[in-house]
Amino acid sequence: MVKIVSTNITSPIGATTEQNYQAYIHDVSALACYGSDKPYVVSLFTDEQREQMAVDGFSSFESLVIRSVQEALSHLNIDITDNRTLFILSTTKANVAELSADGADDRCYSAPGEAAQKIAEHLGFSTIPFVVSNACISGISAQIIAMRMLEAGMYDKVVVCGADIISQFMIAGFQSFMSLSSQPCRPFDLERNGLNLGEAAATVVLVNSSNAAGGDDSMRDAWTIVSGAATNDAYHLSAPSPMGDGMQQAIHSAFEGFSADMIATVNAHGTATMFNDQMESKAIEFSGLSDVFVSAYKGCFGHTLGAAGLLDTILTIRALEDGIVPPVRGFETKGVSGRISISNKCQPADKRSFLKIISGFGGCNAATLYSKEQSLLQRIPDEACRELRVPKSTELQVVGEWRAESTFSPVQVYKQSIGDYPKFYKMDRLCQAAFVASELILRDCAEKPTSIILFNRSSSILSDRKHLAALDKFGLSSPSVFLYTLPNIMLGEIAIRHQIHGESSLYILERRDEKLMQQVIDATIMFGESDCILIGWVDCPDEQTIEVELKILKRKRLQ
Amino acid sequence: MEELIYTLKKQIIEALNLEEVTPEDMKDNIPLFGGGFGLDSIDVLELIVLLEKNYGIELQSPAEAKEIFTSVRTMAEYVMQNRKK
Repeated sequence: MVKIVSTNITSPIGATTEQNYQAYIHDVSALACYGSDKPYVVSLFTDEQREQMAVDGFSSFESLVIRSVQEALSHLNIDITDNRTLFILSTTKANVAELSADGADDRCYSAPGEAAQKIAEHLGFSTIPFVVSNACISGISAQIIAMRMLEAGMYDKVVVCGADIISQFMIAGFQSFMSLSSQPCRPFDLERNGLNLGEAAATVVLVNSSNAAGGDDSMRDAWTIVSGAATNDAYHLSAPSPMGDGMQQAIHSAFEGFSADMIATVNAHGTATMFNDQMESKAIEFSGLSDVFVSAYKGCFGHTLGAAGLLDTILTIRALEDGIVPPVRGFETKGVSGRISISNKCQPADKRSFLKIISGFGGCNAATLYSKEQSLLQRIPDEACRELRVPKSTELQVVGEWRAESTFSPVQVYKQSIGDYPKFYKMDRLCQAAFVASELILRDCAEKPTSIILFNRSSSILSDRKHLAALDKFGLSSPSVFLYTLPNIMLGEIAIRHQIHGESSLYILERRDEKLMQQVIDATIMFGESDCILIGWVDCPDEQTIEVELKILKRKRLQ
Repeated sequence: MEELIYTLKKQIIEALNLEEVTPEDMKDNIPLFGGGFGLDSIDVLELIVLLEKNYGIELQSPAEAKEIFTSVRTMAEYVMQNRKK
């Protein structure tokens, strides 16, 4: 079983999990109003805090990650330098604050995978790390892939850190979506009118308890990640499916075999946007969880993007250790139509299990179940009894394959042989490349994939620069340009076009590493819901270069 | 007015990347949304940015934009009355 043996939250209101928990309970928050022309509320580190965190030779994003991981590791006496320990970074935009529109002033910029590699080396890891970049659900996606890789026996320990810092890049982007509130945000409230952004890093150290030496007391006391599942709405790039179908499916997969009376809380995403909170309330109701108290923390921390899923997990664990479901800050009057239990007062809790749900741009949803309750953990079939999904890649059949020639022009191919999807012209180059390639491979393949896993190196750098250029020129961003600065949007486009409702995950690497990619794919196929999966590499580092290679893999059923 | 309508059409086509549409295809009174252009909620936001960028008009919410964006003509009328640049 995968245990959480140490945690850290680093935010403007604390540098440890404990400090952040105490601050939350005592209604401390760093949310404050900025911007005179278009006011917005955000939770930012002070300049002094930034200076204290700064690590020589690293950007402020990288320094934040390093501090959070170091603090989490300081509680443990474990070796992370061996080849059985992995580092995973969860982030939406990593170092984007260091990027310039024309590339002239990028001295401190490293792409996400490079940043992860630098950080990992500095911290002492010897294995190659990777980045999970699935917009707002990254922090949960990262825990799910970590759990799978541990359960598959690929590693013994995984350190997962989620972080983002908030620069004008993010502020202007969310402003163009009109999703920022000018007041402290109000999750699930009648008066809610948008989200607040927030800066934070959050780290969990995960260990496979069956492989770990000792099985000491700290392990017995640790929480278990029981299960996790991700889905895609395949409905809209930026709006959730109104009834939360994708979210319901994720909950169904993660919670199968368990019942509402076993958990103390459903920890929601609760961004305080109209659509998110409404959708979550419906998904909670339709999943039979109306009587379980909802918790949500963005009224204190804001939306911490790549850190959010991890921060939420850690804070909920800490609160349930204390025997409470924390109040929902900012909530007063219920303003969602789904039947949910929610309060701005502390609720006593005697169960040590909870469900975490989260959703994000690109149509993605995820749900995870955590517990340290013996009665619940006994229900998990032990590994020997579990239907063993064989990891050997020889069991995977390649049923489709497509690779771009050096002359590949997505627009040309679209015009010549697709032509029926006007939204194609709204996509950025990265997305166009992924879209056209997926059209071609799926057209010639009898099998229909139910999940998508893509890898790349340059994230969405072309759209990042375009977004920055618009900011420099007009002080305004275009919502559609901003949308494509989230590299997982290309998976959302493919999911919508081909109605692929399973998991859609984007991983960013420092460089194309076949072995690591194979591990991620194997782990997903072993423990994911999908038997047929679209995988590949899609990278657009500049206006001239496109690298695309897609495959469709099918797991052979062992009779 | 007619000149503004034509300019708006060009700006809309550019902002929304309506690659295969010309200003001539876009009739003054046909619905922009729910019609043949395949526009969605992100395009509403894009048009809100267009108004701010080109005409200094700041709308507060997508809900407010709904009536204004009924057709190119309603949009032009609103711009005439409210433009700041």
